[in-house]
Amino acid sequence: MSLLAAWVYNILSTLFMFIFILLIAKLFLGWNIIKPSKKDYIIISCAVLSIIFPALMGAFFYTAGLFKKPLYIFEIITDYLTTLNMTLFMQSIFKKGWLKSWGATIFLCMLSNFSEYIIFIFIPGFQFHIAILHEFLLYILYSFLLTPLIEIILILILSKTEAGRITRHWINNYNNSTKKNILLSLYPATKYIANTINSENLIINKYSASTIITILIVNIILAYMEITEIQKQKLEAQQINIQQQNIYIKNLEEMQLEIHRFRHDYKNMMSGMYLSAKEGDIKAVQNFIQDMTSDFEHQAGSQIHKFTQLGNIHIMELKGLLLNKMELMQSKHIKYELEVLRPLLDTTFHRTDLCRCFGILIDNAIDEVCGKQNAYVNIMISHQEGFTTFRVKNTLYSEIDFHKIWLEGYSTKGEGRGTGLANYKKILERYNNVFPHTSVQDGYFIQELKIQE
Amino acid sequence: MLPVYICEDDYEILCIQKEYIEKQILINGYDMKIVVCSRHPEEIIETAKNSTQRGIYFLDIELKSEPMDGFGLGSKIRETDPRGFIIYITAFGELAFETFRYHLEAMDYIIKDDMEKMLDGIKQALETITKRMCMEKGGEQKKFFTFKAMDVIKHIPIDEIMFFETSGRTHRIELHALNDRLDFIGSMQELEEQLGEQFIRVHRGYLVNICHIGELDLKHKEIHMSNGEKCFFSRNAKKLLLSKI
Repeated sequence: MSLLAAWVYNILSTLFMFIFILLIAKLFLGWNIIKPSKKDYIIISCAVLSIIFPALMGAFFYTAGLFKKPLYIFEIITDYLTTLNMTLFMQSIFKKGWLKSWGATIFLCMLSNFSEYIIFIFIPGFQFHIAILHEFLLYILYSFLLTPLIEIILILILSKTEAGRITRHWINNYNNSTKKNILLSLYPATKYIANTINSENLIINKYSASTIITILIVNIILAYMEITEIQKQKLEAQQINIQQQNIYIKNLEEMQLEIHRFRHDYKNMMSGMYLSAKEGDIKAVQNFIQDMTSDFEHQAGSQIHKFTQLGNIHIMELKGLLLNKMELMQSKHIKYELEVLRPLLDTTFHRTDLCRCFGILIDNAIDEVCGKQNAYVNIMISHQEGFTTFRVKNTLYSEIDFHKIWLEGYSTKGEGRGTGLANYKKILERYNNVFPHTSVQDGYFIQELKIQE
Repeated sequence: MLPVYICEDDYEILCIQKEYIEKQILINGYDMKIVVCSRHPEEIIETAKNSTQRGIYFLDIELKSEPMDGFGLGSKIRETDPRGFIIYITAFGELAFETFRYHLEAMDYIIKDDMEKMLDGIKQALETITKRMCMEKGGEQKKFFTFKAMDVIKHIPIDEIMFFETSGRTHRIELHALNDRLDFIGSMQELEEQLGEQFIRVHRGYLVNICHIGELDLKHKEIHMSNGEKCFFSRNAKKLLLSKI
């Protein structure tokens, strides 16, 4: 086979693979194609065009007879180049971050390798002789029809089973875990390691077998890591849950005490009222009723009110955060209100990020009003069709340089603080459906975060 | 003549409110008239829909045995009367007033636990409305940049806007104003057309209010705004900028 023919063939097969991984990423991983801007089109075309280099290299190695040499160094180089190329392509299309694209690409490579080799596992020493026409045609049929077919079947099986769920989970939550990174990044190399073992008399095809075994081992390790991580997260969530319940119970007990106190007062008031009524003093009775209602509002009503509002939040993490901050404000004697008019079931904003952002906003509000006169913080969470608004409003005491608050290290409270808003902004940059609004209005500082669900 | 609407599910309180408002209109000679007093929100919506005038609405929040509450009624009213005055009267202290104000631009919030306080609240609300109407008729109107930010409409005084900046993400624009900083979805070109001559496009990514340009740093191609913020201008815009200031 000439260099040119091998080159063209490589380009075509890589292109085919590109389209295929695109499909699988969309169907199996549920990734959505982000509408590309002009700049993105250039990057995507670059990614597609750059296929020619690894393809050329592969073709060159092949024709020069450098493949199947000990250590498989040339295969490994070609594989890495192609994988990098695909990662660039994935990133430019889905914009999920480099690491995630890299992880997903390797997973998809594993999948296609698996389907490619599974057929030959029990046919030792099998090879297509490309120089012979009908074998070449068979090879084409095999790599462009049969392999994709097997891959689709595999995906179907995966998406119906628990294994698929775990796989999807680790790809979509692919993070900076070094262990995982190394394991995955080594894959294109590790699949050849077993090949170097000299074993002439095996009844199975050693190339297929070694690749498949490697893939299985890598995936099992990954699944195991993922499962332990999920369990760890669950445990943490439970711990938070317990903490929350403790705070909740503590608050309920306080409320009960207040009601108890009120009951005591109320008995006294009742007897006073009874006397007034007996004497026919309507005015005094009216006053008594007035005092009693406002007293109840003051002592227990407002507390009950806050808990009803809190009850409307069904996001556990957020509830925990609010409980925590409410307690903090109570201990600092800051007057605060919480408004959650309609139940909030869920939001598309990542929960951890939501808590971090909202936490920063509330902390800033507390910092500003703490120890001041007429300190007041209002927290509003409002869920209307399709949009959720998180809003923190607090009385403002110091003049602020409005545009400087976003800079790292700026704070009205002196040095060593003020990383909050800079962080907040950094988190928001990752989201396309989150819209912040900061304003100063009638002596209040208002921070708002609107999420398009 | 401003039409006044009252919605309250307690018939007795409804009568008291009606009587009191009528009395206030008479005593102070307000240019208002009660058009509907009802226990059913539908009646209010029906009448308000056919009115072209800005109305005054006194609404109860908890409407028992009705298909909608005060919040729903308020949002219905806002569909046809975006500039009307909505005042909520409720038995529950500390109910979510910020939420009402945020979504419905509700003007006031009166608690009806105490009859005297409630009537006093109504009286004050009527006074505030009259004052506002006078101000709007007389003095200069402040111009606002009004736009839809997802589910609410926002108004930012045009004179306070420093500049608009495109953000890295598609169709997202950052507004920098004296007292506001916010993101919204829009296009620079449309903004340019909408805002007219007061704003010039000094750069592909910046639309600047000329009234707030403090100084030009020609060397670094920077504009220092009156509030200390900085933005960039392109080579092409230099001439235009120099001619405008």
